[in-house]
Amino acid sequence: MDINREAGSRNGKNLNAFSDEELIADLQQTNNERAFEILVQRYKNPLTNYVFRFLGDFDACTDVVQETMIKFYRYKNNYSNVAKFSTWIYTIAGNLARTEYRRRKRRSFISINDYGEDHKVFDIPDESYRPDVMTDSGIKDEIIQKALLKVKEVFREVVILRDIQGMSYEEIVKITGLNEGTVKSRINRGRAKLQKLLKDIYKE
Amino acid sequence: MNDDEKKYNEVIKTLKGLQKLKAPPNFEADLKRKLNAEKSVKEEKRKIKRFFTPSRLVPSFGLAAAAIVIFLMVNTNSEEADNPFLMEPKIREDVVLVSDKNESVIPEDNLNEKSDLVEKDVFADKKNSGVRTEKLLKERSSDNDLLAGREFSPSESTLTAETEITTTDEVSAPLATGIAIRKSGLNFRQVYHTKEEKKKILELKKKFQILKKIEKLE
Repeated sequence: MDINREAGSRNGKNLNAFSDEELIADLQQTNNERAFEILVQRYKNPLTNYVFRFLGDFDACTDVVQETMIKFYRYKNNYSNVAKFSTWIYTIAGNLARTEYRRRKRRSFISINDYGEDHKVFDIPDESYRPDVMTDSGIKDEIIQKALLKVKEVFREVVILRDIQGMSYEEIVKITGLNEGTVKSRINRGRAKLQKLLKDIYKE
Repeated sequence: MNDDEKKYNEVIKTLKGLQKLKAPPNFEADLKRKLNAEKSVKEEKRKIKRFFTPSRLVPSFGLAAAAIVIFLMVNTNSEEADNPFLMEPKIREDVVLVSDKNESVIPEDNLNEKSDLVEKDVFADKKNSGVRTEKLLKERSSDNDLLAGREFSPSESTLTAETEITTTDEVSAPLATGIAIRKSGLNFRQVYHTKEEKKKILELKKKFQILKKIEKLE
């Protein structure tokens, strides 16, 4: 990696000033690992935020983001300049997050249903939520996160992309592969559900 | 801001106000480790795949085939594999085992010496057997004379000197083998009469002849 860094500066390139698309083009052409490093640095935090809000588990979220970066590196030559790099990498992360969420949901559903005789579905108490330790903003965040996880998967994804990640409808359309009308409808339905869930916070 | 966004303004504000999460500090190190592990696995797979590709296997197969051909050629030309028609016959161990000290295999060094000895032995055997057969034939002829009252000549006998039952214990084997085979080693029964038994037989024969003469006179 250090050799590549030196090589990058020797060629008179300031890779940090490059756009995402330029960096991936450099990575595709010269296999410059410095370009990969810069892209990882740029996207690791936004992707962590997006995946965590969707999954609600930090460890799983880290694994998913790392897997996203590995897939990006492995299939770097599959990227074409037609789409924005951010759209491409968010699509990979979204697909992996969805897969992980479904896997976890299936696993917890099976394990809970196996417990007891009358096959009732139980809620698991969250031990990590400790109001005595957390700050006010922390508590609020926790409540919002819990409310988000209660929103349906399809609505949650688009709400996070629009209201937390601040993406345009056009970008969301490209990431999700849905049409704009469906995206807007899903965002509104997700917001409505959240408003209902968070009404107590607004009263305060 | 459109109507929908105005409607859900509070929710949007709440969501935008959420704390921005950051990746863990060891994120890049872990990623690098995972990538290297993946690369090494890929490299191993590629090596295995490359090793078993036909283009790689052709030279090694060719080399192995050439080695086999050379080995076979060298092996067939070696001194060990002689022409079977020029080979000396091997001594059969089973024959040697049943033989006694006189019948033992003659070592190559003393072959000529021993073969002379064997020849002498065989000659002596034949001589002895000739004498014995003559004796036996005489005895038989005398017996026959007694029984039939006619002359017996050895030439009239159906038994030749060679095929005659010999009283010798040994039968000479062909000279080429250099081995004498004993009769005792052969699988047939030998009956020997004692002198008393022979006397009894002669007495019985005499009685039988007297009875026959009486019958004729009557």
